[in-house]
Amino acid sequence: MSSNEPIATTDLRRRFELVDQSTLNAEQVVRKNIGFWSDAWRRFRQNKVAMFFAAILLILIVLAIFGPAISGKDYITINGMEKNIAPCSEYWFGTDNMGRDMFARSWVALRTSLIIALVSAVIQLVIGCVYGAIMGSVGGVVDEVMMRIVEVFSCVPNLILVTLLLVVFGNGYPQLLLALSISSWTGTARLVRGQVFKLRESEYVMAATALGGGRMHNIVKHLLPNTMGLLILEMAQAIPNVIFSETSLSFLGIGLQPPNFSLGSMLATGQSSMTFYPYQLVIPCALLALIVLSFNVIGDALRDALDPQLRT
Amino acid sequence: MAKFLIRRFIYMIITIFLVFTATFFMLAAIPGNALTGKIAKLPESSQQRIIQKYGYDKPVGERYVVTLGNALHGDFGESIVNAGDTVQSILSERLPVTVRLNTQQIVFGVIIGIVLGVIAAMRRGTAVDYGILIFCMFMTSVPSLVIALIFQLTFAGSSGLGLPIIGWPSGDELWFGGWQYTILPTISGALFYVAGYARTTKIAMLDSIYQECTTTARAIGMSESEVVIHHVVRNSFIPIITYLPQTIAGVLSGSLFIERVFSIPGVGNYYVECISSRDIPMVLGFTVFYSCITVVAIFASDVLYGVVDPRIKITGDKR
Amino acid sequence: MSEQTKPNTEASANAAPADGPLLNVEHLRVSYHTYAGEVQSVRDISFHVDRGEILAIIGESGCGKSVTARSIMSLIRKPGEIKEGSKITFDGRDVLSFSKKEMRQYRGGECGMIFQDALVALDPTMRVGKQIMENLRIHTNMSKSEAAKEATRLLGAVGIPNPEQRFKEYPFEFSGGMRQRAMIAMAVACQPKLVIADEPTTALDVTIQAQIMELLKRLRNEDGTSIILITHDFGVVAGFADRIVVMYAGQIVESGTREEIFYNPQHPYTWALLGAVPRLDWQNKQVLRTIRGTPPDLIAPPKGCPFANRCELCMNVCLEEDPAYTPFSTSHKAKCWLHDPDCPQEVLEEANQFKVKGGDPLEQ
Repeated sequence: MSSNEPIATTDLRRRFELVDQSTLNAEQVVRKNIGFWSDAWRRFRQNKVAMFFAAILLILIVLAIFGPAISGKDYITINGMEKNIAPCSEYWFGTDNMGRDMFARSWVALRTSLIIALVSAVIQLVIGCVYGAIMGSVGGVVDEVMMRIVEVFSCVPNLILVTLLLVVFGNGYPQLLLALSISSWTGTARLVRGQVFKLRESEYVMAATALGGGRMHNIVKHLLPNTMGLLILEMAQAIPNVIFSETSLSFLGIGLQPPNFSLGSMLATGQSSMTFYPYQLVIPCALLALIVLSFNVIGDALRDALDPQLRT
Repeated sequence: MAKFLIRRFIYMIITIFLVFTATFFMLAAIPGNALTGKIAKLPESSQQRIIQKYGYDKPVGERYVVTLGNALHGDFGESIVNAGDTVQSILSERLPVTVRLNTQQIVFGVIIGIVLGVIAAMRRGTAVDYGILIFCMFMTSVPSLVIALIFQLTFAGSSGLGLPIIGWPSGDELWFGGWQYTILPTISGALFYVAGYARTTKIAMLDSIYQECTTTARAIGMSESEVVIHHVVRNSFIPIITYLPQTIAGVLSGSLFIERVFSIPGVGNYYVECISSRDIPMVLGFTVFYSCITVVAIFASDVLYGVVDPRIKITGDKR
Repeated sequence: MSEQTKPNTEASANAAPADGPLLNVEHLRVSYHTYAGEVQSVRDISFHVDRGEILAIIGESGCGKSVTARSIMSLIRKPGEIKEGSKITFDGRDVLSFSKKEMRQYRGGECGMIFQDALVALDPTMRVGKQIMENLRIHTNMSKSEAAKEATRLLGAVGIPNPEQRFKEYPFEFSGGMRQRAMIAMAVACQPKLVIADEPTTALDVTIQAQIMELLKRLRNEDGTSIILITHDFGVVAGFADRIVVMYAGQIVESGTREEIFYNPQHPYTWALLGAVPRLDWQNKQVLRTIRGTPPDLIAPPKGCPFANRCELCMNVCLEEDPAYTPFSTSHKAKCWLHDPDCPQEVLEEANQFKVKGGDPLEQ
């Protein structure tokens, strides 16, 4: 301000000196840039309930693999002397009406149900993706015809369709897997078709094409990342559904036939003796509820984590 | 709207026709059926006669034409296993039971579900909301089959409320009365849908609450409750309606084992028997019957859709 | 409004003089709580709107203009929050402490709002006429048939041809311009004293833009309604606003009458914005100016002037300290270190070459 204060003056001059423009960073980013997947993963980890059930699921899977070996009991041989023993130190889950160790049987049954669920979910996802992608990318008459076929499949109630297919195919592991997969791929097919259509019409793909991006480039760069999240959710939803259907079928006696067994057939045996030996029903019920609950909670958490529209 | 409905109606007919055709040829491809087992011990000449009686001596194509012609008149043929049973006779005998069971399930499930969903949406973030959320999570995770069995276990014998765990009202009480028999099957079959509707309703409500048009409604001075009644409810109806055909198909499927668990003399129970014994004409008949119901439900929801959403009513396009 | 004129008595009642400005906003601060932290969308702004005045709030996207508009209507919802110490007075009454009943009367009755995108702002499943009727039914004791008649009249008054027919249609059946007119009809249905128009023309093409602006202007001229126009386009403001507030990064950087802002702008950001508007009196070779960079992230506002790192006249002090307002007249002030008495002459000379030779682009 006044010249008789030299220090203040130099200070002032310094203060009001123009800054070298090249040192200014106008694009400064304060916020951390978070990618879609790492953000989803962060959100999933934050969900304590989901992490808890993920741990339970892990334990159940480990037990389904190693469970029978832990008790060291045979789960196949019929033992007439030790029928219907209530849970005790010898037989942790008791024995069934043929004297077989329920502990070992439960884990084997769970293993069966899990394998069927996983394999069938993967198969239906693959069928759905391929079918949907063809519908979406070919379009026109082909799409129309294929869509009618999808409608035929989705108009027959799921369980009815599976039973019908089982009548046609006969009973057994591969047949059951096939029937379960064939009856429920239509949802995935519609979803993938929709994604392909959306993508074909979207402007950013048009932009990518205009910039010389090829078909392959579009699929890898745009279709996959956009659909991957949805497919993971489909998978998370499909697994409990398959477990549901398989259990119901085996309960009705149209699914796996003896000597094969799953949680569903254990339920059926349990029901017949529930008045006197309720544990024979309660144990498979509890396992079934727990495994489906775990898948559902995890599926929900994934939905929250992956759905960008719900992000706040 | 009319154009849209006509198109959907034609699709509906085509779909039923395709279901019939596909089912017929799939069943025709089975190497053995109930008949083969039944006549195995009879002498050759009688075998021929019976096969002729059911028309299995003719080529597949001809049989298809004949069956299709009969089916158009509602005749799917006679049961191989239980002589005298036809799809129509079984339906007239057992359909009321299944219809009552399923209607009770749907009414109970939809009403309770929507009420819970609305409460959860209005009280979101509170203990009530979390309570409903946990209830829903649990109910969608425990298969109805397991719920039914647990109900039976809990109410079996003299314990509990003295509710019967098997059987179904008949005679004069076929449609009304005999409620104590229907309570457990209804609830165990409906809980899944209670949860489903609660979640769908809540999500739909929240979606519409955050729509821009609710801000407009607030900006003209509407109170929160008016905004919900005038703008949110109607807009949330759309996803709820979409869920309806799925529910009907699901309840139909569910009655297969619910009827089995509670020994209810309904169509589902009979269908499972037909499947087990490979009773071809009956399986064909009931499969087509079940699909018809589902297809009609989908058609009905399309109509409702049009009523609720003017964008479809006028342009006839579901977008 | 050419076909039918509004009742004169009500219009003059609205314009009745009263003491003090119609709307007074003081120290308004609004924050949004996100997982990344607190985003300070509006950082201590004060302005007022006089009766029958058109005030334009201008700034680029994300500068807090829409948040300001919504705050005036008290429409900020979670995760947003109007911070302690903010004060909004309408007609002498404190808006932020309104009871439910007062708020009901205020929103829509005394203060109407026009949203940017009428397609999403109108309920897609409700007939347009019914939506206008709703407003009338809330604030007047009109019967259903009276409200329907009035709503039809309003549709006609905002220039929608064939209003009886249009009354029964749904928003998606309207064209963009027609929808915006319906939106205006809805906002002005109860003859509010203040209308807030949040980017009313951004979604429209240029000819329709001009028509909508004309309609809003007539509203003020005929009914004496005050208008707050929110926009990012100086071209829209020209020849329309009485006063202009320039916002940047949640703050007001300059405010003044239209003449002051257009002919004597004082803030480098205003220069930059004005330089980005094409003008009729330009020579062929003149190039439109652009502003490099992006506004600061309001999760961590810079401690100095928020515009500093995009400013061609950035000084050391700009990066260190937030400047204070310098008044140029009773209505004109700007927030820039250039106007500090200590600012050296050579910088001011440098500044002259960036200064835009002002002028209202529509009034040449």
